[in-house]
Amino acid sequence: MSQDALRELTEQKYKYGFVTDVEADQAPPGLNEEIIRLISRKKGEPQFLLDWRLKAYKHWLTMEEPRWAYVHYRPIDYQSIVYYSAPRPKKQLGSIDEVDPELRKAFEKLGIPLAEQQRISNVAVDAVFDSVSVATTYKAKLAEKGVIFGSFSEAVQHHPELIERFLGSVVPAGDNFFAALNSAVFSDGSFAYIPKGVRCPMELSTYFRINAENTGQFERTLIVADEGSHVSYLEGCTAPMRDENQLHAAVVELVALPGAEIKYSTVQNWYPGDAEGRGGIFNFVTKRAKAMERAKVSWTQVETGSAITWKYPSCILQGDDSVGEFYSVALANNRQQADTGTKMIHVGKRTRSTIVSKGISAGHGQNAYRGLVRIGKNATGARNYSQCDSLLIGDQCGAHTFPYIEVKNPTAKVEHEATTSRIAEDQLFYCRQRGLSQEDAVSMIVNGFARQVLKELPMEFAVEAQKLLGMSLEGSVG
Amino acid sequence: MNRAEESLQAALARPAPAGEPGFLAALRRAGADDFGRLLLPTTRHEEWRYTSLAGLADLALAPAEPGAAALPAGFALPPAPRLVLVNGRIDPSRTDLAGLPPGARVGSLAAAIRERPGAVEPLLGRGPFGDHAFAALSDALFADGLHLELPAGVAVEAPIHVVHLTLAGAGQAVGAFPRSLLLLGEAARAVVVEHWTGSGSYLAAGLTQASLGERSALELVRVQDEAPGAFHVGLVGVSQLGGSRFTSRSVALGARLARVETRAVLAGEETENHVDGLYVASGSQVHDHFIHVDHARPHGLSREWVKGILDGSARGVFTGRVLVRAGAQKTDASQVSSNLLLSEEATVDTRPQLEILADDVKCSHGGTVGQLDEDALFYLRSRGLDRATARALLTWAFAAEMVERLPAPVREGVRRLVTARLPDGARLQEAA
Repeated sequence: MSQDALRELTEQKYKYGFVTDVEADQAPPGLNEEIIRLISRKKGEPQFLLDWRLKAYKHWLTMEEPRWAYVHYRPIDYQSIVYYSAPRPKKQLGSIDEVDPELRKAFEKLGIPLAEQQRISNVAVDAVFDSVSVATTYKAKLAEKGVIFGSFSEAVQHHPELIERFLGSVVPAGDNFFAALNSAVFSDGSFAYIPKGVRCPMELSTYFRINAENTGQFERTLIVADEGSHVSYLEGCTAPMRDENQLHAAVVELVALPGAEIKYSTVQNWYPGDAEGRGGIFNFVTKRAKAMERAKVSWTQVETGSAITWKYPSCILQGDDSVGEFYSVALANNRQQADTGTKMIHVGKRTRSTIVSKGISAGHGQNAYRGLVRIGKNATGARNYSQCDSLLIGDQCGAHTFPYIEVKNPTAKVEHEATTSRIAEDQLFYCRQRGLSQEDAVSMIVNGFARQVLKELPMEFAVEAQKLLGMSLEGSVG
Repeated sequence: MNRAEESLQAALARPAPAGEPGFLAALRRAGADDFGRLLLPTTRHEEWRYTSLAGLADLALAPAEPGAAALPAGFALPPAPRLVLVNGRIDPSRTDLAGLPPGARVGSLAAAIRERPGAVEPLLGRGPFGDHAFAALSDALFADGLHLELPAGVAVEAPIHVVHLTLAGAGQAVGAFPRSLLLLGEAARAVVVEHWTGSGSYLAAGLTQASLGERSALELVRVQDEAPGAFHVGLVGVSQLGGSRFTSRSVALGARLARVETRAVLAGEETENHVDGLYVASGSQVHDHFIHVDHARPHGLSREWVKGILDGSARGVFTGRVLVRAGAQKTDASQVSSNLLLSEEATVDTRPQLEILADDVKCSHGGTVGQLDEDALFYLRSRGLDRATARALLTWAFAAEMVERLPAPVREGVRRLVTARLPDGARLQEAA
């Protein structure tokens, strides 16, 4: 392909790069105990939560930023970040129509069906803007079934007993550097509770957007699926274009009680920075699920955005016969760096896990799969299958695979396979001679490569993810 | 600092042997300084994550003295040409270098440094073991080892045996740091067989460096049968020029804890690198294989295959890392770690890693961990074999694949050592 066409396509603008002019209620930059007390006060939190935050902060002070990931970036100045930014005015919202029209416009640009009358798909959305949850749709309908879904702060007010019981039960306050930071300063996020035996009538969804300058987004998501319940949850992310790197350090905890099933899907499209690697989001996320007896947790992620991705959605297969799944497509184009994978910790007997990871590297992108499969002493009859495939587009990018396999039980069956390849000339030639353009051919081959993962996504997301992949990649083959 | 580190620091503080050339004194000083900074690795080091040296930390290591002590029971010296080192120093009475072709220099590294410092100096660095505590120790403390230098076109047909004996007296642990340097000129060929054994409680930390000229071929066989109280750390550094072929075949049987670390840089085009490993561990033994292959140029081929048999509460560790640098197109690399667990308590940790910065490559890795196949056991029993013999036979079959790859002159000896280590291996001996 000609150099011009290549440049044109790789310079494709980030579609979601707009800034919404909403007056924000911000804390001064920097982090200290006062800021944490301020966040907690602003949100009117009970004492136990403030204590928990302060404990996390004290622990965080003793920790070092991890350096083992295959990513490179300039040190982050944690004192220059604004830890709390809320769109103002913030009053109690009775219905969706009361949401600030500027905000609503922003979400419309993102294509989030915030206003119920515009809705076609059956998805309940909780939208998080900078650090604060602004609106939740379809609340009443969910309440009929006893499903609690909304912002984390609301849940703290209305269901403190659930928060106290489950918060930190999967990702403890001092789990790792970024999780500890999040535990200390998280401002909002989503909370969902599915009661015993209930099949959630619709997909739950959260949309995250970072808007204000120099803010970090530290949201916390907690999903509890009580015995025998079922829920599917979608998460989407965008951010405006900024020259500065913005920090996003979220924590997601999933609790699947006996017999429950949680399906968690992510399409992450944070601003990846420009072609020279200026700006973009640092996406340092801790996601973990605990599955009790016969429970099933499935993570599906499509990671196309962020300057740096550092995330390992994990499953602790605590109960006997529990099942963990991880399906991932990670794409690194231009100067993007992704170090992502999963951990499958087999504790219970006959626990099973499947890992399918597809990494795509283009431009100067660096893509690493890092995963751990641990078969514990008592995990008799445990089974794991892992497959990590990498696709290289261009000769300046890199694809890396770092699997860790720890087996402490001889009855376990563990398999790991990995391949690395590039788009074959003969595949391209075949498509071209059938009349497809170079771009369409590449897009088709890449989508074929990622198909195994994309088919795990709920329908609405699968279409978007496919488009995203095509958009982020077109023209990167020269 | 723990006891081992204190005793090593004391050894490092002793003055270097007199009469060494200036470059060596500088190398030793840098090694001592680096070890003082690094100290022994702990499981907090990513590369030592699964291998704890806590047991070594309790040993106070005395510098190994030269000695003509008796050979360990059951150990027979291999045929000439052979070089015998006792506690890291050459034992002239047992060394016999007959049968070498003209032009081949085979002998003591210490003598080569004395006689031809200019030729040895440029090659005596730490190579790919830059910030490695044991390489730093080797620089600071090595006394002697094999020096092999083959001019262009010289081929040594008979295997060159190097026997590393470490003999610790009762109640006193010792440390030995043999160092070998293997230089092969264009199209030269050699087979080097290292035998590691000893008695008592000791640390044997060897560093072998090989530099392969264009189209040369080196096969390095390591038979590690150290005493049950030994800690074995074997570092093998390799640099390869175009068209050369390096083959490492490691058989690890003994020691309380053993780690073999092979690091190869494929610096020329169309190089081949093969690293095979077989280990048999039982009781509370820890066996660790660490392999790093750096594909720096196009058309390289590398094959890593390590098989482990674990019984008792033994631990096996495999780390394989293939780095394909930008521009190293048409690289073909594969890594396989296969493990057989014979008991409830045995554990395996494996990390087959790929780091790929070129787009036209073929790289794969695989890892398996499993037990003996019940169907195969049933088949053998239906043919009249008792359960123990059937198990022994299948276990041997798993190991045999690696043993058969060894060069013919050492195969039979290794077969006997391996079967003696297998559970119910005696049954196989009877059958043979």
